[in-house]
Amino acid sequence: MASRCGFENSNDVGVFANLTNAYCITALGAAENFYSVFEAELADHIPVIKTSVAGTRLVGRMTVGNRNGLLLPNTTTDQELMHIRNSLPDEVVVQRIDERLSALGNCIACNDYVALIHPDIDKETEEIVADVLGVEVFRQTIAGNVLVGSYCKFTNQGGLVAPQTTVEDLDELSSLLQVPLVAGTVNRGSDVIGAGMVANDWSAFCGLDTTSTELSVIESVFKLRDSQPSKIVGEMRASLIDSMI
Amino acid sequence: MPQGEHIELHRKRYGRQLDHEERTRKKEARSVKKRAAMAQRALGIKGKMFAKERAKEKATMKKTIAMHEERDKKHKADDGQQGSAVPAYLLEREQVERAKVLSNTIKQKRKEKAGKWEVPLPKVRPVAEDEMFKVLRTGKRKKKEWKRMVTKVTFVPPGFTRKPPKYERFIRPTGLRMNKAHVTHPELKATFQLEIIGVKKNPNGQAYTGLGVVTKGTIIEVNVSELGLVTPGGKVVWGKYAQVTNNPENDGCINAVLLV
Amino acid sequence: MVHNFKSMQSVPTAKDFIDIVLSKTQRGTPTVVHNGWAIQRIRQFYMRCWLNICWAIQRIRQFYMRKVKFTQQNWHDKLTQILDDFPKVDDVHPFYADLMNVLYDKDHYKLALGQLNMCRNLIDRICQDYVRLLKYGDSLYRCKQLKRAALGRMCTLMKRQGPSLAYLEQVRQHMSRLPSIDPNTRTLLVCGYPNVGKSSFMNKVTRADVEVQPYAFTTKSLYVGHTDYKYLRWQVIDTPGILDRPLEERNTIEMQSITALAHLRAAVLYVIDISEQCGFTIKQQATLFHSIKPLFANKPVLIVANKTDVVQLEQLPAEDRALVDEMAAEARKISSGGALLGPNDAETTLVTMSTLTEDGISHVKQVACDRLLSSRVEVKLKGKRVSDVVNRIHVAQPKARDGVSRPPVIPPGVAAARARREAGDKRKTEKELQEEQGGAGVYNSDVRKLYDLKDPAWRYDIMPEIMNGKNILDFVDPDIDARLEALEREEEAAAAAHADAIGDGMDEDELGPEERATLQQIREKKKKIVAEHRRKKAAGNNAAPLPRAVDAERSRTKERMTRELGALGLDASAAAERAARSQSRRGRSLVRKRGRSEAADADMAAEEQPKKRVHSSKSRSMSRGRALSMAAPEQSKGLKDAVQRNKAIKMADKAQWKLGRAAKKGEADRHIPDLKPKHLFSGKRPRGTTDRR
Repeated sequence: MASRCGFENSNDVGVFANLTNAYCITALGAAENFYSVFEAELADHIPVIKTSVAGTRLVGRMTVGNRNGLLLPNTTTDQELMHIRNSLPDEVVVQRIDERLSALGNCIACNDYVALIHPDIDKETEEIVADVLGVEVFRQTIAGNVLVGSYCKFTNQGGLVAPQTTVEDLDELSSLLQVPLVAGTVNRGSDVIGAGMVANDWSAFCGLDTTSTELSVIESVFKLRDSQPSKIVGEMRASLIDSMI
Repeated sequence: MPQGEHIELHRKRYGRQLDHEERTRKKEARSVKKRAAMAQRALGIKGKMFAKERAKEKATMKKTIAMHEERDKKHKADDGQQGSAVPAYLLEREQVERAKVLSNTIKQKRKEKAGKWEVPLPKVRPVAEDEMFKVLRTGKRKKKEWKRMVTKVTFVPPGFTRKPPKYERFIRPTGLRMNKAHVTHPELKATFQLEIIGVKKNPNGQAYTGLGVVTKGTIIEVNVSELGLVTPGGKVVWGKYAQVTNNPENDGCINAVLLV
Repeated sequence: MVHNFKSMQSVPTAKDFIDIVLSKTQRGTPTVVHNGWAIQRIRQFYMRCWLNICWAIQRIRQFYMRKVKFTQQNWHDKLTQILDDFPKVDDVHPFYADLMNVLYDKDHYKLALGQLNMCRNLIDRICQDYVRLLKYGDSLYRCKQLKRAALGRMCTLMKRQGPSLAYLEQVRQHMSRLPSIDPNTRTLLVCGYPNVGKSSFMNKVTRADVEVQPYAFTTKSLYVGHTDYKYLRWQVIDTPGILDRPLEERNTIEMQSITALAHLRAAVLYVIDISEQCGFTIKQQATLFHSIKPLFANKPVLIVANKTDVVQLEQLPAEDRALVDEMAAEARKISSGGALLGPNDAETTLVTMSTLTEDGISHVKQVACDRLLSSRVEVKLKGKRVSDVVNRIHVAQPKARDGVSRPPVIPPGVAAARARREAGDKRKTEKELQEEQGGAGVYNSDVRKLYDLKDPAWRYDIMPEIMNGKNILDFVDPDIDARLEALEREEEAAAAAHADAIGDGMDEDELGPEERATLQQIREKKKKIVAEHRRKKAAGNNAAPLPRAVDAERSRTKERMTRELGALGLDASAAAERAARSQSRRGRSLVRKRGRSEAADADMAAEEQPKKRVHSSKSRSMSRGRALSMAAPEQSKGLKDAVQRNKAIKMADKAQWKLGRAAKKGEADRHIPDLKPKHLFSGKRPRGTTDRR
């Protein structure tokens, strides 16, 4: 199910939260409102934890992870690392990595099987990503943009990429990731998909500004609530064309 | 009622506050005191402005009251009674209110006798030379003092060509040159902006007339062709004299009265 | 261009305007003419004050000029603000342009703005004129009068603009209350005769709270509301009723409807009252439809038969029914997207509803929205921009690249939990806890509550972060044992390797007794040096450096030098003697001085080669034989020998070379100029110029 929420008047949910199929990390806010949105939806199934990463609240952009593991930048403090280790189940491997591009969430995008990484990331990091997250790793760009984590979001069910991506690129990426993909926006036309929303196999969260068209695209492409990606080319086509042109 | 006028809409639907009338009445009653307090508190320019406003208000108020009272005043009935009884033999004589006519005709005559040289401003303040001119020091060492700059408004005819600046004794600065005057026609009681044709006479002296200096009381000739005045013979008058009534150098414009 | 009608600043009345500007001048410019500026009469014999007087009048002129300019600038700014705020009729969307024409009369509007513009120019001109006159002001009184006249003329000009300003203020107020209609978005336009139920439909479909009354012309202006359909937002516009009469006779209220119909590309819902309760017969309504038909061209048009609760469409008499059908047929013909209509087109151009029973309202909305959407899409697909978004209506399906299955990972019970939540069985969230316990900022949430540890009792264990100066986390390692073992093994191997390496090197045991003694000596000396160095280092850190004269240790003595050099096997007697000589240069010594030449010879003899080189600039004078009249350069100042000295000289020359090359001032070119040469400033000056003496 896709829902709208906001972190302290910001629409960039993907900046302040990281959601996978095995856990959910949210930023420490002044109030519990943002955390509770996730808690209400997910806490029955997976741990939902609050933490800071490297003293910042940008947990979604600093970390990357999936069902198998979680990667943290090397600026993460020991206390944060311990807190995260204690909160997550033992199956999830938590690893702090020494990578120059420390905003891992911006540079790496992954689901439980495949990961896209920034072309300039270290060789060692690439190996760690493959080991810890248990994924196939591809060095890729999205619509010529190297920040793959910012400009796309995909789960095991489907994915949304930045609107500049051409149809050929979409087909190529889709074959690489083995999930259906569609180009789109969140938060009333924002093209930083990864920073604007979070999703896993059964739920998604995006900013309060997201229009209903965008929301329904998200629901269908991520196959939430029994809707299918084919809906986008079918019944929503007219609405999409009219709202975008 | 257009969309979005929420206050009016609410009033229309639900009426005003229950004590609205009472509140407005009280506010009205209090307003006098508020104003008095303001009048006492206001200082400086604010105070002056307030006082002026108030004085104006009071004056109009008095006038209105007087007008209303005029209606209620008891006048002596003006039933055409003469001041004194008229003997019977005089009753048939037609009463001629001659005094008024007489005085008018006398006035007219006197006016004619006085000649056409009477002007609205018969006396003018003499202007001293050192007020009229500013001494300019010239020469390489600023030693020579024979040049003069006119500090009053001047009229320079359109075709004027300067002497070579080296030999020019009197300088009439371009900033102070004017060629338009606001001329009032005393009978029409209307003012027109007219072009100046020339300076007829400056009361301060012939030299100034020659220089075209325009001060208060100067007689200037203006172009009245726009007014469409006609001579008894039927020709259109285009030049007429007017006397300057203000100090043009202080006001930045020339005001004049047409001499008719 | 989108103009924001809501953000215009209010236009003051002429009187307020004058007050505002004049008081701003009063506050913004200096108010006191200082006593010191007073102008005195200029007399011949006061010529010395000439400059002072000029300066004083200049300040007074500036004082008043500033006031005039300041006032003009204020007028100019305020008028410009007004002129910029009000939209130009030619700039806004034609719909708004026409609406403004209908509501405010375009000519009047343009005239008012034009007059203000003219006024602004005139004020600028007045300022220019009076500033020029002020330049010739020669007395305080005259300057002040000119300022007064200038300000007075500006105010009079503005006072004449009173009616224009009042009109513009009215317009502004009205404009800011206009409904914000977006002329380009998806729009449903409801029109028809007065009192047929347009506003009721609007109220049912949107949340706009339009007034509904049982008399004609309840709605006197355009109303806008919004509704959602198919993930999109739709704008619904309610128009005032229209009567059937020629365009010239229509009043302002009707003209608003006509403007909207003419300019908005919208789906038109022509509402007819089939019960004829509105006071107009179906025939009249049909006539109106046919007369305003040209406005409907190329738009989806729907005939909406309202008030079916009173009479059904089927129950209408035959001739009325024929009229309605004729309207529907006409609507089908003129409206756009006619070809798109399917076989059931009768249903999509003629629909019925009852705003009272809410029967068929959503059907009307659906039909209207669908038709508008399809026609808009049809138009847009023909445009160029469709290629930009083709990727967004394309779902890329993966081509299988291997046989690995990648199933989604959804925990069991997600659906069940969702159903439970929807049924109202919600867990207590942190937010609720927070509200219970004092709200945000007061409530401190427990982050350890959810720790997933082997033993839940460990959750609140206190774990030190630093112990004995060590960061504990640095030592936490899940496979510490394995690593330790590996490390030990590695160490053993390294030790073994080291032992082997040392085995074939020199050994102390193999030294002879003499060598051993030397070694011992060397070590002792080394130790001493190290100890001395350390002492000095420790002492020197916080101690001021002392001059040698008071240095208690007096370590750098001649004796020491002799001793130490002697220990190294060098003869230091000559050095010691030289030191003694150089030391005793100041003051007199008991020893008889040697002659200079003798000394020089001795030096020459002592130093042998390489040939002495002195500074280039001096070398010439030396060659001229004057060398001996000047002291020989200090030879031993910090430099070891002639080689070093020569090198130093070379370096100095090299440093100077660039400066010399560029003909720049060097150190040698320092010159103290004589600013007041005596010969030009002394003596009497007769009449004439001062340039020659």
